[in-house]
Amino acid sequence: MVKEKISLLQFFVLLNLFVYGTNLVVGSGLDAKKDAWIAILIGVAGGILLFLMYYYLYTLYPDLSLVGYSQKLLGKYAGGFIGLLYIIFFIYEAARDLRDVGGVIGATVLNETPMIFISGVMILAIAYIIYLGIEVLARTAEIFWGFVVILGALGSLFFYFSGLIDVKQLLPLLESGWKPVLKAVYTNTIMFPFGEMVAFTFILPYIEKKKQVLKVGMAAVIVSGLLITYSTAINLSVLGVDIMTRSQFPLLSAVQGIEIMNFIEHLDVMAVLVLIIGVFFKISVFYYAAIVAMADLFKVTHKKRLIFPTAIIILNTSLIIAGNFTEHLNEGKFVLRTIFPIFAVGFPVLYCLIAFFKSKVTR
Amino acid sequence: MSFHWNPFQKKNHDNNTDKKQVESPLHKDISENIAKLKLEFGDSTEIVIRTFHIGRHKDLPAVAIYMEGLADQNFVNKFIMESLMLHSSDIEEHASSKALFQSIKMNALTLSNVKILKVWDELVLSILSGSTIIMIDGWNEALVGETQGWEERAITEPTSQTVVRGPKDAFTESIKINVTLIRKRIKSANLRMETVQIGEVSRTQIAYMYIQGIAKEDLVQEVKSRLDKIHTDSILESGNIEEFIQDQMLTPFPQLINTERPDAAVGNLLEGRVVILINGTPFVLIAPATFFQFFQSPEDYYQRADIATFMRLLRFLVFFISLLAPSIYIALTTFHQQMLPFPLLINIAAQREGIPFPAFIEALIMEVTFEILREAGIRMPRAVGQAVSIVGAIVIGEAAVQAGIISPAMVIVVGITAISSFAIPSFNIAISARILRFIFMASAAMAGFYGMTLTAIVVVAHMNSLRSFGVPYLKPLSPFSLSEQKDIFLRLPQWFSQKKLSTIGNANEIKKPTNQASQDGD
Repeated sequence: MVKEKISLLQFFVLLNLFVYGTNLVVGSGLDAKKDAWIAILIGVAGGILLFLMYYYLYTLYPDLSLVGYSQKLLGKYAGGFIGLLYIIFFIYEAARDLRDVGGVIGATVLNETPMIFISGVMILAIAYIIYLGIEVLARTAEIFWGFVVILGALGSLFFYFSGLIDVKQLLPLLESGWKPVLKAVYTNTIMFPFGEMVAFTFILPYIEKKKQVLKVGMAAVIVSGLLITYSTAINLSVLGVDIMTRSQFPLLSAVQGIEIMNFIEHLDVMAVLVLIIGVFFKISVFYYAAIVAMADLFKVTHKKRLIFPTAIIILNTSLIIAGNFTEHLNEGKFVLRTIFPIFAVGFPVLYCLIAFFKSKVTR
Repeated sequence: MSFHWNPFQKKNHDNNTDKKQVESPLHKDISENIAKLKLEFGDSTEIVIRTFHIGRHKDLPAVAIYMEGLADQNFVNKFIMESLMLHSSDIEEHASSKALFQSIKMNALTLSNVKILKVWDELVLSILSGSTIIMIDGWNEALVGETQGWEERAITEPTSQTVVRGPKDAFTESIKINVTLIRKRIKSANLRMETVQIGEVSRTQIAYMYIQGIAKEDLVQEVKSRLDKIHTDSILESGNIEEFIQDQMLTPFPQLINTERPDAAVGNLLEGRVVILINGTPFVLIAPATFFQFFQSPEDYYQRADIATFMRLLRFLVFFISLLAPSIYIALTTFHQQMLPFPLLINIAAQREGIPFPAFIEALIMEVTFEILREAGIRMPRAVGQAVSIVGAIVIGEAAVQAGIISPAMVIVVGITAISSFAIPSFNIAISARILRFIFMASAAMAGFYGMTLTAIVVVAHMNSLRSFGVPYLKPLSPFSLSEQKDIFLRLPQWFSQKKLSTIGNANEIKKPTNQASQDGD
């Protein structure tokens, strides 16, 4: 059944874009104030554990998606029900990220454009790329990853050259002890963005060289985690903790300060470009995971027929999900604490345990 | 996902098989044959039918048939008529038809390339290709002598792909000359050529060349099978073939390269590609093609590496300018004014004061005007060519601005776009940029940089879904391959890739043509 193949490098860039996609712009771990970057750094460790867990399940069933092995482990109906919940979860996640785009673009560059247009063209473009298949998606990610890296490197240099960075803003470290940091880790930085990696359990079966998945996956988690840490630290040292926590889009606010030679200025549009690309691939992965889950669960042979209806559902969900952007962000924090752990940790841990005991029993 | 759109395939295929069933043999009586021939050609005046006696053999009349203009008349006179009529005195008198036929073939005909034909259709085709037919009364076979000779255009400098430094010869309309131009450059027995005839009516000669051991076996087979699948009435230019054998129809991107430069063709042969030559056109096709090859000029390899790299990077820049310049202008002036430095913003705003159109319409008017001018410049008779440039310069440059319809900044943008599109070495990739430019303009007008980014992702995704003879179109950027980066954006010095030259002749791993890794998934 699995015909399309993605290379390890493509897997690496896809996971990379996925992890820092929305995170760079929306920011996470800000409950820990100045020490947000430490919270993210600890979150990376959590991310590694999560990836190890998904990888363990993957080694047990290298050709099956999460829906496939949940039915094997729990039986057709119980496993199928959990699969159904995952479909809803992925559609909801895709819709959330689509709303992120609608919110950021609407608030920054296209003030007068209705959100349905902004989100609509985005989901149409994503539907097209999903229609072309996972391989095209991964190869396209490969090219835009390079673009994002170049933009990121340039942006980083501009921060240094414009003299905005004030490392003292980060001091003193751990002003109020470890407690708020660990709390931010628990409520925020593990799940967002690393818990979302559960969608990759639907993409792992497509990877060509199965033996090196662990190495490359870990590298991707660590690299992207360090990148978020770095970008959060830069934002903090540019904006200071007060503005940072009050700002809706910290990176955009920070970039706006850049001014070099009276020519390179107002680069927030460039930051928005990075956001668009990152979120594009993030939604694509969730969307694709939802499609694969549906196809696996309901034994749909023509996956492509599911694409357009799902696009409509995601678009509409993203529009009715919240009344305004603040409500949307608050909801996000709530969901991160309650629903995410169930899907990102709960069910996979359950599967790991069942699989582990099953193997003991058969021995 | 790739689909071959070929509505004529089935119908013509049936015709073809019908025709093969009615193959008729030659008649023993030459007067019958001559009558049939005249009937078939409808008494065309350029067909020459000359009846004569061979040497002193008066019993059995012989006949020579050729087409005036296609066959070289001097050649026929000297090596067929003269040798058969005057220098064949040693042929036995009163020999049987068969013996006579044999002795003509073995002793009398002073031509190097002689074949024997038995089938009527082949005989007609031979006459139409310029050969001379010799038949003897009482024998149902015919001798065919290669006597082709018609006026050819001389080898000239290439007109569409010029270089400053490099060979100055170009292909001509004759496939024979073209093959020679390639053979002259590669003195290797591994350079293989196979020919096919395509076109029910035109019966055009098509040849494909490759180097055994460098070109992948699969690729050659694929080219062969795709060429065999073509069933059409006529092939007049390489473009006809291109449409039949390209992987996907619905795309603005070319999937085969055409060139009129023998050195470019040879370079591609050495890199393991297949060159397809079509009789009657100086443009040969090269398969497979990837996107980045369209930015390579043969001159890249004749100039020093640093200069070549600079020129190549310039070409990529130029491609993006030609693709994006108007849409960036539209996006900046419509949505992202804050990105412009303040003095420039004031300047542009002042210029746009009083312009009745939004930036998108303004750009559209100018771009369409320019496209019309360009097209007119190509199609119009040479003699009136000057008029276009004068009218164009006045309309685009002066009048539109003075009339307050177009802002001067827009004229600059359109101008730089136009110049850029001429700096791309391959004409057909420049056309892709021209088509996509309008799509980018529309998306910039609707949603600024946001729309442009989405369009860019969609276009790249589309390119990623393309394949040329199985090779991913954006290879080696995606799927990424570090070892092949030395000749994409950069042109590293020759000694960097010396290895490939030593591997010619054995099936090698270093320079295979379709090494699209195994991640290609088809």
